[in-house]
Amino acid sequence: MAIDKEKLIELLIARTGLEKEKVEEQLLQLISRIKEAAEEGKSFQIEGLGTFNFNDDVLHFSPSDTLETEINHKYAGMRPIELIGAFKEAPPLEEDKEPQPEEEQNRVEPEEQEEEPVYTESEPVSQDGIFGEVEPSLQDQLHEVFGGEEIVESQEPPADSSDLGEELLAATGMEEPSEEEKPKASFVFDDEGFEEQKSGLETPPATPSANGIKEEKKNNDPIGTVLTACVVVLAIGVSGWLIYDLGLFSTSGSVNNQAGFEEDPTVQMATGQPASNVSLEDAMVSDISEPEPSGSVTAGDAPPPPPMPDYGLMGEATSRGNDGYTIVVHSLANKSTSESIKDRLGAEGYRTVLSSAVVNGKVFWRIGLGQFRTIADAQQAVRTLPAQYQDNHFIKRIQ
Amino acid sequence: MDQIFLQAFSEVIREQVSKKNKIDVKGLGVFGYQHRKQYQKQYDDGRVVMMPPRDVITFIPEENRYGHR
Repeated sequence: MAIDKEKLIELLIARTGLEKEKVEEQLLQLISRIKEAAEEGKSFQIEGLGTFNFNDDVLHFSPSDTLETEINHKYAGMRPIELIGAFKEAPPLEEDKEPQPEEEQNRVEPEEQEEEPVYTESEPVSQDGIFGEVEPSLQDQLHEVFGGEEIVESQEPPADSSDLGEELLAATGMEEPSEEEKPKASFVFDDEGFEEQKSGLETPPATPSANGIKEEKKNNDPIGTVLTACVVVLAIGVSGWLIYDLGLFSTSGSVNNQAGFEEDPTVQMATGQPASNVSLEDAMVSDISEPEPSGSVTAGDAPPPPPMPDYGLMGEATSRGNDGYTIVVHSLANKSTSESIKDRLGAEGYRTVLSSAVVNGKVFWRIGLGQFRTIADAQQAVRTLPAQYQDNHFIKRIQ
Repeated sequence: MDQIFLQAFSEVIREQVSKKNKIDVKGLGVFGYQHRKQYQKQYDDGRVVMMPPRDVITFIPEENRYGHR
């Protein structure tokens, strides 16, 4: 939107609160004062706005720093970014010409006139080091210091990285190597060449770069990388197979333990059911069997052994049969009740065994039926017991 | 010339330029706003830099506009 004189006066009236005539008069006065000062060669400064001055018969306006920053607030603080990959060789300077002031190239908008500190060019930074082009003034100094031969070397075209060795020799004033050694003395990425240069001339800055190249060569070995990856994959696979295999071994080990269970002398239990639900035929026996911690019993595949005199379900208990197993059908805290039940079962013809056990600090009296050489015999005999004992019993070693 | 007027003139110019408006001051010139894009610039030593964009205030004197001088 364009603000013309009328609109400007309206804005000034609103801003100052003065009358229109007064504002118009003040504006005309301001314009005439600016022109007068400019024509006298003086500059007219308005605080917070900028400076008007005459330059080449043209009125110029330079905004104040405050106004400039205010207008350019979006990009304030941005600095030129050096484009590393876009480095271009500087145009060759003629020796007769004095170095020209900065010359802008590739300029998109050429109307920029004022120079800011941001945009002013400094002297070329010596980041190029010895690779940079030798200035004419420097050439003269070299000529004075080193004499004619060295200046011939330094006046050669700008040295690139491959000519570093020669340039270093020239700069340090040392003797040149013989013609046969010259190719080796050049700064190439060859180990032999590097060693030759080290022996001929001590150049500490060149050492790290050569080492760095060596390391990169080591790291960029594709075959080695592939071999390493294959070895790692194989190692992972073998370790995984071993872990899986060990797992299988552990499972089979537990099976072996179960297989050897029959030889375990610890107390075994057939069903784990508590004996509290056992209902006795005799109404006089009203004691309740307490549950006990129990183990487990595994079934053996052995066929039932032939009846032995020392073992069996029926008959009298023998001392020799006490090295076997019995079927516990009652476990009571009262000894007298236990003995009465034992007597009753004995009267029924069962071979009874009365034993005691301490469970959680409490004594229990266990009534067992029969004496069996093996657990399998006991299990076989359980089938012949009355139904009330079929599900409420456990098998234990007598001694 | 009144100091209050000078301050008001300065503030009006700043305000309108910030709004990207052109201010035509009869007898003096036109204040305006211009955006300058980023551009590449090469120094004498061969270095190429990317100059940042920026917004500037422009002034075209009246004599230039009408070709009086």
